[in-house]
Amino acid sequence: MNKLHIYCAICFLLIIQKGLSQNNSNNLSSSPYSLYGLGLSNEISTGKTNSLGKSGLAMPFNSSINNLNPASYGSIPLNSFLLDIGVKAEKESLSEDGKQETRFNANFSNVAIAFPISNNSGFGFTLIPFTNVGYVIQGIETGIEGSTETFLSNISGSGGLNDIKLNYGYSINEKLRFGLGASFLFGKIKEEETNFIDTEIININEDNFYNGFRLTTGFQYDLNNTLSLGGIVNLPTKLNGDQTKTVTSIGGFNLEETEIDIDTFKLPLEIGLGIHSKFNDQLFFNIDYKKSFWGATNQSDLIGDYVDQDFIGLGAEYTPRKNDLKYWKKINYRAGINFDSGNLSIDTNRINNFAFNLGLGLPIGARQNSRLNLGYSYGQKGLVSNGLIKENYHTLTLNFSLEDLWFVKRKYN
Amino acid sequence: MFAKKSMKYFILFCLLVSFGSCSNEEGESNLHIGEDFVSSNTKVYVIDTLTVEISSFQFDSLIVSNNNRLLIGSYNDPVFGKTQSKSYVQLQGLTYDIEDEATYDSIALILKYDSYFYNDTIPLQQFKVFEVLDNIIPDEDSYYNTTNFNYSSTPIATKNFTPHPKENDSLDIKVDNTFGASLFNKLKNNEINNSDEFLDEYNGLLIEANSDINTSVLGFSISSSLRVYYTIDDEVEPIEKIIDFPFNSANSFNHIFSNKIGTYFENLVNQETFLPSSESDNNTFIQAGTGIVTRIDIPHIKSLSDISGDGAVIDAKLNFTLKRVANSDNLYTRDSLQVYIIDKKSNVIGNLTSDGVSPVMSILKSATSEFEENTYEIDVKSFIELKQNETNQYYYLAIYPQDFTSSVDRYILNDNQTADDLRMKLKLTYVIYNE
Repeated sequence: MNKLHIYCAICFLLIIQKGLSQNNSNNLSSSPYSLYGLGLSNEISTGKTNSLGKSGLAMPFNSSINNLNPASYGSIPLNSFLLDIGVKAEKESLSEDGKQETRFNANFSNVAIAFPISNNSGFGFTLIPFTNVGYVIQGIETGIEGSTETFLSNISGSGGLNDIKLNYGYSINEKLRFGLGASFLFGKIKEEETNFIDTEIININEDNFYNGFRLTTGFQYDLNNTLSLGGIVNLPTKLNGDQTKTVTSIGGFNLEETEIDIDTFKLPLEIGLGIHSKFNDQLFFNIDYKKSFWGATNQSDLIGDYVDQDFIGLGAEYTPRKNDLKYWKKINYRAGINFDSGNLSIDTNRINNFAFNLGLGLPIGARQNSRLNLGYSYGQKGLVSNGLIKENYHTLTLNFSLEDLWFVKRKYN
Repeated sequence: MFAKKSMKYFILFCLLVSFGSCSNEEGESNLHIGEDFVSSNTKVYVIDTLTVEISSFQFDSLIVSNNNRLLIGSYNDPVFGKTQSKSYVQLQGLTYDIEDEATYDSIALILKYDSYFYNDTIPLQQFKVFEVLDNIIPDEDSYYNTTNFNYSSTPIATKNFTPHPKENDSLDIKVDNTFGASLFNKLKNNEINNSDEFLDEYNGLLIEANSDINTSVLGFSISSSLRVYYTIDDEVEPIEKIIDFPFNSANSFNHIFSNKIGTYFENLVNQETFLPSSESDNNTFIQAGTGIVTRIDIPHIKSLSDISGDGAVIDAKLNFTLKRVANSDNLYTRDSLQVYIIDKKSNVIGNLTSDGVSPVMSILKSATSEFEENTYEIDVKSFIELKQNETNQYYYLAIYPQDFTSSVDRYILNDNQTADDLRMKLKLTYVIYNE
């Protein structure tokens, strides 16, 4: 370890700290849909997959950390050390019944490290948001019983769950890799309600804490030089919750902090299958399909039920010439689309999500495979026509994927 | 290690991450999208069905010590009967020296109007002044509106007059010269040289109105006095001089009473006897001076706790109106009434306050001259909160007029059984904030 490594470590810790504290102040989402359950599932991952239609179940190690399948960790070359840090910025336009609003948020999106343990196994650590909650809804009108009058409320939510994930991948042979991942999911979801009743203002603050473990297994199998298959299974789990609630009012009555256990939140069994097709050094394709069996959790939210969710992602990357002297030829050009059916059914309507992505992997540094991955997604959730909120969003992601070669003594330094 | 160039990017990146985290909802005051998908967890109820029991009672006595107002007069009222007030005043000397060459002239009682009057001032009034025979001393430190002392049977002054409390500064009552000369000579002959000697001779005066006439009750300032006029012979012309005996406010008070025979109050023998509004034609009553008060009970406040969850009363207003045509320009009412908390035996616990300090008043909310409809409102939130505590369940509200011990104003209230727009109403807003 030299000085730079220490700097790296400090920055890394800073970002972890930042990541863990995100729940207190900064929202990772501005979507009203994040008020359901534990919030919106985070789609943003490490490395290049953000611009590949979020696909990559079958994609082996490819100069950046692939957090979608732990089996990919089995293909980290010896002497590589990988670091991946990401941020995202999102602008959302919401429409509902002729109303239109714009919201913006930006924040840290992940930090991950990965390194080989032996020439056929690798290990990784990822801190990534698992769900994001961020909504502000104002002027909610509620009737006063026994009168024709109403009162107004503002309700906001923030926070979300983090995922600290340990991944281990092992190559059984040249073609087959297995992986195991263990996630510790934890975080705080804060809901604040301010009621304006006549001259009284009542503020209700609920902090919901959740935590639990989840296991992931995965495999990747290279059929031949051009085609690989991959699959994952995320095991169902339960997240335990407890809530602290405080009520304050200008009228002087308040509820001292009370702590209660709240319902556990069930995460479903998820299976995913993917194909990675590499035509030559220039071009590869990914296709992923995932299904989350939310229906089996028998959970419902205020106005909707959880139903099985399908996810399809397609992505391609093109690199004109990997080792060219011209910079633009070394750039990875990426494109992808992804679709998911959402896990919530509101009066039989689904909140579908569709997005297309474009991305660039900009090489940084002459000798390494380090890249600055830029991604742009444009997507849409929900539809106005069926009484839902339509969200159009632009997402910019920025991932700093660093690959360092350890223990390689250079001739000239 | 990472190449230095990469490192630069990396550190820049870290800074970006550290400072760039933000979330911005444009126009934070106007974010309505999603309101159909979320609802407040707070429930608000307006409750106007809580029972209110209203009655009238009369305090056994009111403490009337140290009032700055003398109330003298009487008025007849079809509801309240004949209400009378008379004043006992103790005199005090400022000086007991009179020049040897002084000559007695006359004596008068100078009563300064203090602008208060109740009922019609047009009819002729008759005041009589008597000498008090007993030493005016308080009964257990206080004078009550029921306190009496013996007085001489023949008046030392009688005055027939038409009062002009607004136009005139004072009412001057000429006092019998025998009384005046006697006082003058006792001073001149040094029979009275100090306060004790003066009080031994003169216990005080009673000023009383002829109650056979339905006139008004007049208010006079305590800084009135008995004034002796005398002259000193001079070579050119006599010099006129006076000597004043001001009223001692510590030992001056009003005896206020009413003739209750034939009225609703006939059977109110003590302050633990209540006249429910249902037994007095759906009215309750208030009269200052005599101590008639309206009591309000909200007996079933505990039923609020039947609503499940943690809740609080955030607003509670009691509205009531005065009986139509019960007021006139003569028997006027005021824009605010006082509100007290009393216990089961009608002992006063204290003012109703909103925050432990500021007293809650009953405020005139609307008045329509056309229909003589006066609506008063009392913020009873703090009272409800008080009464929710089990130990305070036998607390009640008592509505008083202003100047309760130094006026004779009276009010007739409609109860909760009268016509809808006039009846007394209790409206609570109750919030459940934790189910």
